[in-house]
Amino acid sequence: MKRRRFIAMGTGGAVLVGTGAVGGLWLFCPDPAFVVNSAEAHLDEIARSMTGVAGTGRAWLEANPGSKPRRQILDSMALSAGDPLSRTQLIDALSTRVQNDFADEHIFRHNDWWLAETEARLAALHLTLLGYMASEAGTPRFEDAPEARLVSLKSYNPKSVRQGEPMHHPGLPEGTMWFETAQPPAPRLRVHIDGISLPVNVSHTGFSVHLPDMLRYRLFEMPGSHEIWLHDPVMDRRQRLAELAVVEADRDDADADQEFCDVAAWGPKQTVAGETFNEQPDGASAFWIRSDCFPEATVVLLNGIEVPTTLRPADGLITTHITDHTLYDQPGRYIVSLKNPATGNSREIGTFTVKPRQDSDTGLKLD
Amino acid sequence: MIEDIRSSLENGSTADFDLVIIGAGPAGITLAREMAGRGQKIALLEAGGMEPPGPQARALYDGDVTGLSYPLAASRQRFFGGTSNHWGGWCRPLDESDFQSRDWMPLTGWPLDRNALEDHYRRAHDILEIGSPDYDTSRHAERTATLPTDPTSGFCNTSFRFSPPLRFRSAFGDELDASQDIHVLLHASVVDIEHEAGKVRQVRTRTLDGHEARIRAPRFVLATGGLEVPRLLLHTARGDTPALGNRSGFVGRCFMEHFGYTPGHILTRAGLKYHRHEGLDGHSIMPVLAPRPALMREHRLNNCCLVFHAIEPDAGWPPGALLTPGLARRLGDSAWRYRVTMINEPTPNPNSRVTLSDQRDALGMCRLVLDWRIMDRDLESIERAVRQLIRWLGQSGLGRVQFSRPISPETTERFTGGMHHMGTARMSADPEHGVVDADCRVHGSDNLYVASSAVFSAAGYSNPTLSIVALSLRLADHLKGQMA
Repeated sequence: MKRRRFIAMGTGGAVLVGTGAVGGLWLFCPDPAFVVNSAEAHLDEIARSMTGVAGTGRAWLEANPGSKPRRQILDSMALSAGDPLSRTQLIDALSTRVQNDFADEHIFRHNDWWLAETEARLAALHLTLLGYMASEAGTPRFEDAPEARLVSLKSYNPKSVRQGEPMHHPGLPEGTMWFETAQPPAPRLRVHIDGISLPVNVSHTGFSVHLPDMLRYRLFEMPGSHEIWLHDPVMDRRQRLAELAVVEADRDDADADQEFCDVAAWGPKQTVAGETFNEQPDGASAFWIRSDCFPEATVVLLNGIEVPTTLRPADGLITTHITDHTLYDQPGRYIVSLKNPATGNSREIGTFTVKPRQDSDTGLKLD
Repeated sequence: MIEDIRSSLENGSTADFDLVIIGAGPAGITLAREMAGRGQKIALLEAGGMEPPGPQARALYDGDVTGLSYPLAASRQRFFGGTSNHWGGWCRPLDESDFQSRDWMPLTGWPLDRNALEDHYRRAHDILEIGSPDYDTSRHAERTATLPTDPTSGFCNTSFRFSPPLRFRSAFGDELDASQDIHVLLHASVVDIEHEAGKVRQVRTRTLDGHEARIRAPRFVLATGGLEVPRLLLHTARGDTPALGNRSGFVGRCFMEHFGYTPGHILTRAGLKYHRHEGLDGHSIMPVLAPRPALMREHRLNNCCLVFHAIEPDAGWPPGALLTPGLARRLGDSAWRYRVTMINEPTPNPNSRVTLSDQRDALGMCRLVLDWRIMDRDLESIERAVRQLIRWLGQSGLGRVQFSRPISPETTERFTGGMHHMGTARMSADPEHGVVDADCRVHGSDNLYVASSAVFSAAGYSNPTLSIVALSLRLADHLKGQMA
C-alpha cells in the first residue's frame, strides 16, 4: 500500500479528493508515484462521505477485532489499492458487491438492520478514517424543524382555561384539547406545548391531545398565551397551530356581586351541537339576558370565551351575536357568564346545554 | 316488511314460507333482496332488533376462549344489518391463487375458481357502493406512491378499495320494510333446526321473554357469521347422529382469522403512499405490496400483504447512510423509514375450532368455545416472506429492512385478528374434507345452505365482506334455478 498523509487545507499544490461529512475539508497530498484515480482513493472518499454510520462502524469493528475494513472491501471486489479506477467504476463495483452480499446472504446485523457486509465494512472504514469526527446518527429535533403547513385547522377547543379551574371543555375528557382539521391528520404528528411533546389521537375530522397533569399545573402558573405547535417527526416539519390562553383566576366573587345586578331571566338554555339557536336574520345565534344593571362594556362569556355582545342599559337587556358555530359544536354543559373587562370580574349566570346530534356516529370502526 | 316476531306470529304458532334465511347481515340481506320480486314468500330471521342489543341480548354471545385471545362478543353485531353495523369498508376480492390448492398449505383449494365469482364480484361492488372495482395500482396510484416491482422482484403492488362503509341497516331497511315478499322477523333467534334424513323441516325460534314459533319452508339458508353457523349446525346433532354436514367432523373446524404482524421497518424511497388516499381515478385506494404466486410457490409462503407507514428514522442506519454512493442505486435522492405491517393468510387448521360448551345461554343454546390457533408454519411463512423482502430490497438497490421483531413465542401471544370469522363450514367438493359443496349446500342435506364467510375454504388476506356478498349473489342464482 502506498504511503499517504493528510494535511490541512491551504497547502499549495494539494489535490482535493473528498470532504468529510462532519464539515472538515481534507486534502490529500500524494507521493509522486501515487495515482489519484485509484480504487483505494475513491473508496476512502466514499467512506468519508457517509453520514450517520459511526455506530455501525463501531459495531463492525467490535465484531471483527483486528480486521482491516478497507482491505476486506477491496479484496471482496477483487481489487488492489492502487488499481487505476474511475470513481464511477468503483461505485459500480461497490454496488455489485452489495447486491451479491444480499444474494449470498452475506449480512451484517446492527440494531436489527440487515445490512450488506460490504456496507458495514464501509462504515467501519469511515470510522477508521475519521475517528472522533466520524458521523454519528442524529434524530430530528422539533426546535430545528422548518415551518410548514401540516394541517388546515378549522377550529379548536378549549381556547382558554382559567387558573384554579379544571380544564374541562364540554364534550371532551378533562385535560383534553380538540382540533378540527380539514383533512384527517397523520397519526405520527406530535403536539408541542411549552417544550413538552405529546402524541395525538386522530379521527376522520381532526385530532385530540391530552395534556398531562404536570403540564397543566405548569401552564396554570403562567397566565397569558401559550403557543401550540404541531410537529411531524417524519417529514421534519412543524406548524404553529394555535394558542391556549391561561386566564388569571377571578378575584373575590364579592367584587363581582357589587358590579352586576341579579339576572332576572336569560335564554335560550339549550341547543343541539352545532345548530343555530335563537336564530337571527343573518343566521347568527343569540343569547338574551335581562338584568337591571351591568357595567359599561360588559361582555358575555360562553365557557370563558368572549362572544360579540350588545348592551341596551335603558331596556335592561344584553344580547349576543354568535356567528362561530364551532363555539358550541361539542355536546356538553357550557357556562354562560358576564364579565366586566374593566375589572376582570365575572359573574356566572347559568348553564347552557348542548345536546348531541342524533346522527352522530359513535359506532365502533373496524378494519 | 319488518316486524317483531312477537307481534307477527302468535306464541307457539307455525308459519310457512318458500325460503327461510337465518341472519340479517350482509349475506342474508343480499340474498333476500336478490330472491325478492318472484312472488315467493321469504322469511329473513334476525336474532336482534333494529337497534344495538341491550346487556341481556349481548350476553347471548358470551363464550369461552381457550386458544389465542379473542373478542368473542365484541366481534359480532346482534341486530339488523349484522357486522355491516361496524365494519370499516375495506374491500378486495380474493386472489386467483387463494382459490387454488397449494401443496405447501394443507386443506387449501376451493371447489371453484375465481372466474366462477367474477360476475358476482362485479355486482357486489355495486351493492357495497365501492368507488371503483379496479385494483390495479399501476393505473390508479401515482407512480412514485409505490415501490417499483418487476417479476424478478417476487413482489407486486395491488390495492384495497373502500365501501363508504355501507351500513345495510340504513341502506336497505326501508326497502325491506316496504317489500311484499320479504318478511323480516326481528328477535327471532333460531334455537333448533329440526331435520330428518338430511332434510330440514322447520326451525324453532325463541325470544328472551319466552315467545316461541316454528318456521317451515322447502329451503333454508344459514346466513349468520362464521361463529354462529357452526354453533347452529353443531346443535343439530341427535344422539349418535352427527350434526348436519358434520359426517367429516369439519363443522366448527378450520376457524381462520386474518392476523396482523409488524416485523419491523424498511428504509427506502421517501414519499411512498401505502396508505389510504385518493387515487388518480378520484376514488379511495390503499396500495399494498404482496408476494407474487411464483414467490409463494418457490418459498412456500402463505398469501399476505405488506403496508408501510412512514415513521421517524432511527440511529441504527439512518436515511443518509443508505444514500452513500454504490449502496442503493435505485433509491433516488431521498430515503425514509417506514413501519411494516403484514396482514397474513392463515393455513386452514382443523385444530383451530369452534365447539359447544356445556354451559347454556338464556335461550337454552350451548355457549361457544373458541380455540383460535395459528400454525407454526404460518409463522415460519412470515419469517420467510420478510427474508425475501430483505433480499429483494437489498439486491435491487431499493432499500434495507430492519427485522426488529422476529417470530418468538412472546410475539405470537399478542396476535390480533380483523374480526373476520372464516372457515368453520368450509366449502369442499369432497364431503370428507368440508361442510358445504360448491353451491353452498350442506353436504348430506337436500335443502340447507350456508351464506357466510364460514364457507371460505382458504382465506387469502382480503377482508371478507366483498366475497361474502359475492357468494350470496351466487347462491341466489343457484336458488333461483332450484325454485323456478
